[in-house]
Amino acid sequence: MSTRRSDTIPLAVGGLPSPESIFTIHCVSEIVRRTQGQVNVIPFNTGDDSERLAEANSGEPTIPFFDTPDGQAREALLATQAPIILITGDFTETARFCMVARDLDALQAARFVSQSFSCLEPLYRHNGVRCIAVDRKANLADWIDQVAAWLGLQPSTWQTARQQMLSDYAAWPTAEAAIHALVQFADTASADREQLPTATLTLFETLGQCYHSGSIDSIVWPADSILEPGDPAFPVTDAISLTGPARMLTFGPFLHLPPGHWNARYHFEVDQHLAGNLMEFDIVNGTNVLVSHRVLVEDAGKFGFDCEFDMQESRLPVENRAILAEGSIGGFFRPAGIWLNRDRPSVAQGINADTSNDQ
Amino acid sequence: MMNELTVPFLATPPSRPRALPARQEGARIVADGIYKSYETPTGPKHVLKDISFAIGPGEKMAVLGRNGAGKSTLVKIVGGVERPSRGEIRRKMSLSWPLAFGGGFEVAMTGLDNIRFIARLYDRPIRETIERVDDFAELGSNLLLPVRQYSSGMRARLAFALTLAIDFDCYLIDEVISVGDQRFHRKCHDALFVERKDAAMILVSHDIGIIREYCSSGLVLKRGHGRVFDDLDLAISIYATL
Repeated sequence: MSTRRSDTIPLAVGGLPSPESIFTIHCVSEIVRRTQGQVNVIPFNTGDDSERLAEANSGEPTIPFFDTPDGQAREALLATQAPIILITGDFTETARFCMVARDLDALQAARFVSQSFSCLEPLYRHNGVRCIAVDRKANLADWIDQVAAWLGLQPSTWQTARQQMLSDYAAWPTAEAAIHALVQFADTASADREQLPTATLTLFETLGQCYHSGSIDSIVWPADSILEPGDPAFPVTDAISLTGPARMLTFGPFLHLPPGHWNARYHFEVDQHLAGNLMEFDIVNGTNVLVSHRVLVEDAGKFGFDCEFDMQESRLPVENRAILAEGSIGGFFRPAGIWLNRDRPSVAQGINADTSNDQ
Repeated sequence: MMNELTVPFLATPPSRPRALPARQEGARIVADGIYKSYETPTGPKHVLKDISFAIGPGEKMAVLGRNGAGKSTLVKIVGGVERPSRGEIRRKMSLSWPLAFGGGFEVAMTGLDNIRFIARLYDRPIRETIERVDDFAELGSNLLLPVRQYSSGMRARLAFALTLAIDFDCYLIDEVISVGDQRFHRKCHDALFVERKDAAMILVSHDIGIIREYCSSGLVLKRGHGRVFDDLDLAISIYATL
C-alpha cells in the first residue's frame, strides 16, 4: 500500500474518542498551522483512508488521526515512519463523554469505546508508538510546549507563533480549562456523572477494569451487557423462560476484542427444566460465525460453556448467541456473563505510558 | 463442561397441572403422576416420567411429540391396554379403547362375532350395533370371515366402527385419520368431529389442521416428560421445533 513521504506527515495522533484526544489533535493542528501556514487533518482508520492519503496533494503537511484503525490502517501508519502519539485514557470517562457527545445510551457508548480500545491495542503494545496520558492539571503552556516537542519544535524555533498562540489561549491556564472550552460536551460529561444509573456505572467500571492502556488479555462482559430479543432488544435483567419454540435466547453484547486467539467461557444458570434442553452457543464477529457448538443441558444448575476462536478484525463487533435449539416445555435460563482470556500475543511487548510532563 | 450443582436459584416451584383430589374430580379422566418404563438388554428405558393431566366433558386435548416420545404408550395406558409403572388413571367418564387400535379382537372369531361380543360387553342392542358397524366399516361380507384373515386396514376400520357404535363420553384417538382411503377419512372426520363434537377426546395426530380446529389444549411430550398447555398455539409452536 502506498503512503505519503514522512516529511509531509510530521506526526500521527490517535487515541480513544475522548476529550483529551480531541484536544490533543486540536493542539497539534494549531501548532502546525501556525508554523507552516496550512495543515490537513484527516481520519485514518481504514485501508481506504490510507489510499486517500496517498492520493492527496503532496507538500501539504498532513496529520492523520485515528481512533478505530483496522489492521491495514495500523500497518500503513507504521509504514509512514512518522512519529505516532497514542493518547491513553480511562474507559469510564471516555464512555460517559461519548454518551453525551454522541447521544448514545450506555451500551452503545461501551461498544464504541471497546471498539476503539480493541483497534488501538496492538499499537499500545508497539515499541514504535508513544503512549501519552494527558495531565489535565498541567500548565497549558507546558502542554503546548510538550506537543511542539513531538513535532520537533523547541520554544526558540517557533517563538513568534508560540507567543501568539499562548496569547490567544491566555484565558485557559490549565489543560483542563482549555479542554472544557474547546471540546464540546467535555464539561457536560463531567457534570452528568451523578445522573448515570448505578447499572450503567457498574457496567463501565467492570469493562474499565479490563480495558486499560496495557495489554488486554482478560475481559469480562457482564450479564447486563447481554441482550434479549425484543423490539427493541433489551438487557437481560431476570431469568428467561425457556418454554416455547426453538429460538434465540440472548445475543450481544456487540463489544470488541483486540486481535489474537481467545478463549471464552459463557456462564449461565438453568433451572426447573423438566426434559432438558438442547442449546447452541455461537460466537459471531460481524457476520462471520467463528464458533458454533450444541450441547444438551439435562440438569439444573450453573454451567460454563467453553470455546476458542481467533479474532482478526477488531473493528467488527463480537456477539455471543445463546440459542434454544429445540422446543422447550419448561425451564428458566439466566446468563451470568462471559469471561474471555487471550493467549499472550507474540507481537513485541512495550508499553511507553508517559505523562505530559515527560520531555 | 463445568457443572456446579447448586440450590435452584428460583424459589417458585414449577408450574404444571396437578390432578385434583378424587372427590373433586367429577366426570373427568385424570392421569396422576404416570411413569412407564420398559426393561431392555441395556437397562430400563423410561418412556414416560410423571405425566399428569385432567380432561373433562367436551374437552379435547391433543397429544403432541416426536416419533417415539411416548404418545401411543400414554394413550394405551389411559385406555387401560397397558399398565403404568407408577401412578394411576382415574376414569369418571366412559372411555373408548384407543381408536384404530387393532388389538382386543378375538382373531379366531369372525368380525360379526366380535361385534356381538362388544355389544354384549357394553350392553348395547346387538342388531343395531351390527347395522351401525356394517354401515360405517363397509366391510360387507368380510364380516363373516375370521378377523385373522383381515388386513391391518380392515382391522382398523372394524375397530373404528366398533368404537363409534358405542357412544363413549371420551374417545382416545391415535392417528386414526390415516386409516383407509380419502372417502373413509371423510367419514371418520365427520363421525368424530361433527356427530360427536360434544364428546371429550384425547387426540394423537400430526395433522395440525385437525388439532387447531377441534382441540382446546395440547399435551407436549418431550424426553418422557409432558406439560399441558391451554395455549394451543404455544403447544403447536413447541412441537413444531422439537
